[in-house]
Amino acid sequence: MKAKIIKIVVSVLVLAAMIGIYCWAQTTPLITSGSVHIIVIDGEQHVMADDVWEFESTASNPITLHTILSNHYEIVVQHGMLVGINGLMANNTDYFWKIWINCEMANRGIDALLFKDGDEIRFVYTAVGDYYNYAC
Amino acid sequence: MRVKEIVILSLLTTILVAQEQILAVLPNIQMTFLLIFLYTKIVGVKKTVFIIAIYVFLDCLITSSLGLITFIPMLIGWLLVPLSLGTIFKPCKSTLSLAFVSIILSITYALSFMVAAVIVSEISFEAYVIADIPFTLLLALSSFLSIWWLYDPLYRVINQLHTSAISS
Repeated sequence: MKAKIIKIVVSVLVLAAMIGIYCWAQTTPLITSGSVHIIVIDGEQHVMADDVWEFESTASNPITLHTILSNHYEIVVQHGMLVGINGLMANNTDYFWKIWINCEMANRGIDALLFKDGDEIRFVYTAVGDYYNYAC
Repeated sequence: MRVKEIVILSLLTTILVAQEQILAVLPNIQMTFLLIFLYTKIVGVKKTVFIIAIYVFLDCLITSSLGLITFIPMLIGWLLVPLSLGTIFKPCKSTLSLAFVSIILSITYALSFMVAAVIVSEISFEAYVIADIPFTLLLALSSFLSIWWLYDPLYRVINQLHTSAISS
């Protein structure tokens, strides 16, 4: 009986930890302001856009990369994934939008990618399977 | 191998694939470790290796990630489970010890992806580890809980099913 109670208590604690971790993973702790350099490059390495945008992110009004992009470009997002910028669509089967932040490949999407003042973010229209990219 | 046993193995593979798809909406929360632990203990290491190979192929096919950067680390990560359970973790018999083993194997599974991501995609090691910590923790904790609670009852059911298939 005692072992059963301990098992239940530990399980509830583990579940609570899992919920906490899930919430932590979802948050974007970006409370800062500044400017980001956005560069959009098509499949032939031509620059489609090269702009610097100011942003001011607060706890009540957090700014994500998604916010900045949708404010300044015509973007298409499907299931949380960026598929189109200014009419250039990636079907994610043959092509996708690879994101580089300060010349390092981003490991998050436009809703969760952390950035700060002065960062350079490149969106490169990339063939699937092209793991080496000379965008930077 | 009898036809009936082949059918049982294909059913077990189907369950593995189906639960993955059903739980896909929850990040890294799955019962894959639980099922692979059960399969290893019930049908053996060799047959579980076949189940895993089919499962990984189907999973990559469904999620459109049948490339080397996903397929190879996923295959290695999952194959480590039956191989280690059949060797270094063979003495672990109790449910609680198996639940703790699943935490270790969850971390090795995550590490197998990290190696591929760092080498092939040139993602910085530090950035990958930091970004992956919450998802590895979720994987480890969900594996721990599912094995702790469900291993014993499911073992009885699947073992009975498998035993009746190979004996009749």
